[in-house]
Amino acid sequence: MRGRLALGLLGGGSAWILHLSASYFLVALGCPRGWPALGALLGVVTLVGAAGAVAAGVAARVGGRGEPGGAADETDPGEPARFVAGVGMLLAGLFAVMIVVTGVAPLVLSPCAGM
Amino acid sequence: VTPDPSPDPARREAFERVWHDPTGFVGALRTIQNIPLSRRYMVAAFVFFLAAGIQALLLRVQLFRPDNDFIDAQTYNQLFTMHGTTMMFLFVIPFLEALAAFMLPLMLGTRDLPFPRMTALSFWTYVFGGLFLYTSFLVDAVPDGGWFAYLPLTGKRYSPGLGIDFWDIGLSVAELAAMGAAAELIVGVLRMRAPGMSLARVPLFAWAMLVTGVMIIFAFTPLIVATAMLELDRKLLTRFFDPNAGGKPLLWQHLFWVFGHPEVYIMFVPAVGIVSQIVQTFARRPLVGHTLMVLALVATGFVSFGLWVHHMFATGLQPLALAFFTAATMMIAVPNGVQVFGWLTTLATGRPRWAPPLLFVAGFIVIFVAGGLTGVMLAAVPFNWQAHDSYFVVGHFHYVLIGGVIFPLFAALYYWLPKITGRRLHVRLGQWNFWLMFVFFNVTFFPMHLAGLAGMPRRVYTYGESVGWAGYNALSTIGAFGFGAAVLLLVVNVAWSLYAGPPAGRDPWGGDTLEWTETSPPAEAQYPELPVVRGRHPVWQQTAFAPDDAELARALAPLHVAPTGWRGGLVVSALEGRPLAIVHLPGPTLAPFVVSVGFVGLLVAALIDNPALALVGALVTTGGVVGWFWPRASEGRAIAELGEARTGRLPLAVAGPMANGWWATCVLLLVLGTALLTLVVSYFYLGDGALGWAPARLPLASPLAAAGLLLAASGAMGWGAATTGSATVARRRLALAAVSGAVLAFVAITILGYLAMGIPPHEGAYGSILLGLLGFQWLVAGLLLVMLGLAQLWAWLAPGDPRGHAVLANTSLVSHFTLVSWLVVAGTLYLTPRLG
Repeated sequence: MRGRLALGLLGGGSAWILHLSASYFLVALGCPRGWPALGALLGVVTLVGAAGAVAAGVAARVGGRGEPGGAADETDPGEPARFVAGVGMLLAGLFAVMIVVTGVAPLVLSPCAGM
Repeated sequence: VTPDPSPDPARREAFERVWHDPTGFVGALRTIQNIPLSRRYMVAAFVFFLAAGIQALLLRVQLFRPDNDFIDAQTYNQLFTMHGTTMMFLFVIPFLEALAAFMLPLMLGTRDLPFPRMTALSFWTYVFGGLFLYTSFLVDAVPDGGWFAYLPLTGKRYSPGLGIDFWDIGLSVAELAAMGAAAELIVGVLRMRAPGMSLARVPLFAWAMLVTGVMIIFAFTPLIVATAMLELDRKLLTRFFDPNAGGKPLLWQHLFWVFGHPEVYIMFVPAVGIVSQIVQTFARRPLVGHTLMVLALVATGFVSFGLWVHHMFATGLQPLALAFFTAATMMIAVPNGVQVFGWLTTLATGRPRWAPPLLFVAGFIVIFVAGGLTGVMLAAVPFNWQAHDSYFVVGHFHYVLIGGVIFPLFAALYYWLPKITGRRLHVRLGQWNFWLMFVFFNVTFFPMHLAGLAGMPRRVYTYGESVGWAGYNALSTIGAFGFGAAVLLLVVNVAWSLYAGPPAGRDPWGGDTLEWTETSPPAEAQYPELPVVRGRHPVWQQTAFAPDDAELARALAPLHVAPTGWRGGLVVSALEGRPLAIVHLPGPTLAPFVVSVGFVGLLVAALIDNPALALVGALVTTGGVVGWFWPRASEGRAIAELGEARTGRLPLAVAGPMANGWWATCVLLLVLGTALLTLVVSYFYLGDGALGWAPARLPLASPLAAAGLLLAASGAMGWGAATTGSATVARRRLALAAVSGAVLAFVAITILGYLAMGIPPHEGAYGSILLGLLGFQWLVAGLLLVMLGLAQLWAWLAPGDPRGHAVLANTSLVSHFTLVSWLVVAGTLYLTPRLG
């Protein structure tokens, strides 16, 4: 359960960084070499990245549920797990949106325009 | 078993004696406690702050009127370089880390940080690194390449003196100090807390320092790698950045800004923590949206690593790539917006008391939001191209950094100085301090935006009458002197407080966190009775801090005004704050100071290319390290005695994931992993992303044999580390010897293999990165050999001491990493060229 909570807390942000880096390097490498279907490749990377962030949110949710206790009492041993799970799910949602917002760029700009 | 509520005075006295640090000159060098060390750390950092302020005033005098000749262009270059470098590396980060080192143990309800010797090492290394940098003034070799030291300007051809070497070497050492402190803060927040303080109850300042610590680890490492590359290039040993030999100056910009942008948030995130604590206390209510605040801190930590390219919008990158980073840059406004709304809502729904700390926080919110708005403007590529390298940027980042960091820092001083010194500050002086600072800040920096829009580039040492910038600059200079006067008011206020300030008492503000339960100033022996936390705001929610159930009381009994023969603390589980083990904390030692002195020798040797001095420095450092880890029999006996008396309670002298040292080793491996990633990315960047850019396919026999040796070493280490107790000590010694032999053979084979390649590093970028990757691997192997030596030391000198097993477990981790690291290095150098 702790592994899932850690994944939930860190997974969304990691997915976003990986997506941003992958998109950047694909453009930096693909444009000078004239890679075909670069736009489609960027789209796939965006979908995979967003799915990764959502998966992190799901991991957080499952990890938070798995801990004992369910009351809202602050002394309840389940409470810190639910807290971390809550933060993880919110982070995953935020980063999923950020991945999609970043991934929209190739729809507006031609991948290698201005080169 | 309920602990004795009032242990006899003799026990209390013995407990206090064990935490008492030695006095006198040598005693001061041996001190390793967080309270005296972080006080010194803060004072040293503040002195550097004053130095940077004087440099800024000199710059402003020069720009006061057109065609001024107060200082020449060269001096101007030196002053702005040292101003930026000092503020970034010698003031803000060290000061914040020192403040955290002081406050966190108090706030988290623990007796010290997890690695007190590391606190001392960090302090001495920082001081020596800073003094080293400032020695450049004495030998007329002041760095002049700007705080981001762009290539090719800072290469040997265009900066032939020693100035950039001073910058490069001094900075690396200050960064190492910051990283040491960061490792301590990470492990401290996760593992050294009051029982019951779960992650949901950790104060926001501690959350902020946890995020900051992690950011420092990932951000500073690429810069250390980059500065090492720069220094090797400057010594003409390599050509990483020389375009005439396949090198790329833009690689420096990437590596620098991968550090440089997170650096802004490394300074800002602690400020968020400070502001959150202050808003809560002075609004007299819990912060609105605590969970969202934690989310914003973690999100800021991540997002800050995805913004570095916005510093490089004008370097000719692909337009789509710019669009990605524009989106990312604008997104940082989301977590920042969450924070601002959280503070404002808390103030709006609370009963704010407008004491000086809250005034500074209000000033922070106004200025930081303004700076954030110009940041969003700069995120837009067309505007960025217009304003790039203009005074608009100078105005923007001072709004963000002074507004976002210095104002909260002043708020923190007004808030926590009564706790640190035990004396209150003068309220009226504090109010004057704030209003002067707020008004003159805006008088100084707002006109810079206008000067920038009027076309004034940054870093010009003078300008003509006809360009129309005189009014803006005159106003900025007047404002800067007013701002300087405001800073002096703080100094005056602190001096007044120290000599005439009324006693602060334990809790002058009615705060909610644990530090307000301790005396002001805190005693050397903090928390003789460890507090038990039952809520997010313990001081507001609890009237008593004793254990409320028998099981917890029994677990904590050995720490109740105890141990009295050695320094002991509590380790808790990261998530729940459940007591896990009793940790042995070291006593006063000269070792960290000696290691730092050895560092200085190495620094100076690197600067002046003196191998003899380097040898002396290395020997002194090694002596300090051995002294650091030397098994002290008296400590072992004391722990064993308590161990016999405490059957069935919390474990002592734990190893593996239960031990703080194991977590610190994990942090070290994160640093090494980040350095490796930096080098591998540099390898492919230098080759334009082509897998097969290596000029030759290197033979595989040598790397395969080397991998086999490390695999055997890793296996033998696992076999040796699995043994416990003195009965199997012979097996442990044998395993350590075998592993040492295998690692030495690995080093020999890889060095011979490298020499056989015949690709000198000074002839081109490929040879440089080849040596860089292999050199990194040798460094890791060297580290492993040192750790093996220390583990062997414990196996021979203290075979029965259970703490030796922790050393073994940590060495085992490093041995596994050495294997993985070699697989990555060998795969990059030997296999990828075959795929291209």
